Amino acid sequence: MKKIATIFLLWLLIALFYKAFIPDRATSLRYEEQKQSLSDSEKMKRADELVDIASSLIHFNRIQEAEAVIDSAFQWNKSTIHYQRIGRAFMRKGIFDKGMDMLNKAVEIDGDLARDSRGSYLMSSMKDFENAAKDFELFDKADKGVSFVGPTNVRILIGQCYLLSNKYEKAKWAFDAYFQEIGEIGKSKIDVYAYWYRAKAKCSLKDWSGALKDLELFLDDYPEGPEAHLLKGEIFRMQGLETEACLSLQKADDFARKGYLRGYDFVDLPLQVFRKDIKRALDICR
Amino acid sequence: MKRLWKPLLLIFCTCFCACGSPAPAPSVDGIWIGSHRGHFFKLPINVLMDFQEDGEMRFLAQGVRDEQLEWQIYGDSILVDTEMYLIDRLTENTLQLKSKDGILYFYRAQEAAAYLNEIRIPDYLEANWWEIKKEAGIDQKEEYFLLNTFEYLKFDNEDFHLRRDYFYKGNLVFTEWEHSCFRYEDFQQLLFLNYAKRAFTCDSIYARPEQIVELSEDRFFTSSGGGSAKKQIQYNKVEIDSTIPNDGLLEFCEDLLVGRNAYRGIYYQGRMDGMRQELLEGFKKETNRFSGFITVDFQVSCKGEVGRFEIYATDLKAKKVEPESYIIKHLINLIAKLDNWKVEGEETLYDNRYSLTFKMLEGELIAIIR
Repeated sequence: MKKIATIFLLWLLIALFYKAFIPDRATSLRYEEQKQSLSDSEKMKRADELVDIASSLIHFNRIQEAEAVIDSAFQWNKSTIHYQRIGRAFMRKGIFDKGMDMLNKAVEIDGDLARDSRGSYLMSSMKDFENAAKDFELFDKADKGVSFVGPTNVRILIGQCYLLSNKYEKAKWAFDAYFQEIGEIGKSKIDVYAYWYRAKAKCSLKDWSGALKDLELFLDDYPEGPEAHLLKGEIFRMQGLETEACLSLQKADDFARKGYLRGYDFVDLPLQVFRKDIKRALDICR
Repeated sequence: MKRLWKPLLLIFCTCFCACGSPAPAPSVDGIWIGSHRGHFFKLPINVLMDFQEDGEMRFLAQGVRDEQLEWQIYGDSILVDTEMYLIDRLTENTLQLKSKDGILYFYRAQEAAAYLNEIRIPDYLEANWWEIKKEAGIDQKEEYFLLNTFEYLKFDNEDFHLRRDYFYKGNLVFTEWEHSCFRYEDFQQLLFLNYAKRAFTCDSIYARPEQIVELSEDRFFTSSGGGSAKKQIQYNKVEIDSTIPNDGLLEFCEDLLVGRNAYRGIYYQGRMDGMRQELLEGFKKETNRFSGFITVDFQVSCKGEVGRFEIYATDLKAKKVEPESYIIKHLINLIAKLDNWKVEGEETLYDNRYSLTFKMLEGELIAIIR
């Protein structure tokens, strides 16, 4: 028995000696150990790089590989921004179940302050305007000061969501709130298209004079905007003013032809005007 | 002293086993198959390199644009023009190069069986249709995609035709044909099929090399890459009574980079609005009562042909669903019929990738979202 114990002890000593002086390179590279030695910003950087790779893989439909990379990224850092970025990549690809899972997790972690991304994709990718408006409103409340989602003021987005879900009074209220808030900062910061969206809401409420007033404010700042000329033409037509209507519609067509129409190659804007909309309206004048 | 001989023997045996005789230093010479993971394109791409004894290196096939660069081995580093790669790991079968911008992984090509050099491989290949079976676990259909794809290959001189059948819930919903080129190459008696990545020019520099490792009348196996990027593909002989169509063949200009230059070069007449209008006009509700989202992902070749479909679907609450076959078949056929693709300028070398999401409510198409 004593012999066995001695042999075992010696074996153990040799093993410890071997381990201490000839470290296994693979073990030293093991990422758990690296994890302890890295600073938070380094871990964040590694996670960022992996999230970039995962987003590319999602774009190329290599979802299983993307998920493996996402797992690795989350080992380094698991934060709202990473959930949101991966969520966006899935949403843009149309894989809504995975995308919403990620965006929901961001909301679980960061609360109402993370509702901006989810609202944005509920609005643009899923066209779920009611739930998007709810998210934007809660985000607006949580985020102090003037709030933006990407480049757009959140109150404009709220107004657009209500407009697209046919809640025109609420839409008008949201745009009013936007103008009130932005007016306090300075009128030069106003997004002229907010006038156009409010005019659309007022049109739906049959407030023709209010709508025309908004369109004049729009055209004061941006006389070449085809959208405003088109809407003006439509309002004149509804009021039975055919000559004025055709004049405005002709202007809309001219400016659209010159390339003043608003639009992106990658995404549709809410209630985006296309040239065919102007042509269709103008056909009646011919 | 007598008591100590056993422990001493044990120590001696342990040290002997731990140290042993040193392994022979691995040599870099020979053909290596590798994967680029460059900073600009963080996805593995196959590459075939000939590392020669005098330190010179030669690209045999590769997927990035630096084929003109000079490569030289200096000590433990490899110099590629102005960029330095350090040999990060070298074993008998693995070579890992590291630079500040990325890692290159190389794996030594497998030794070909002697009988392969004694048979006329093109005769075997060109005699049959081959069904492509991918190795389990690698390149398996993603669980998120609804379509099941079967691919059949026919070699003819330096061309190949690929018939791709799409199945959904066991029903054939669409068939497409792709044409490209390949070269059968023998590098130091290691036999490769080099699939051109540019059908447009049949340029083999941008190729996907697959080493033939087994061949019989009924099947052959190819191998490429290594480590996590290793792909082994099995081709089974199949009887197909099918005529290769003369037109409507997909020919990609540079499918290696599809998506990277999305929305460049080729566009639809009337842009998104024009495409949307045609799809809305062509859509038929019929018996379909589906509510939810169906996303169709597809590629448009530089010549304006549409193919390589993937589909996923969720309900209105973003839960994965499987709609009826009819609607899937209908949407693929609608998109395949889009034929007003235009090339920006005189010609383009860019293929494009598109994703369109169809939002439906009780079978009515209410939005086409991009």
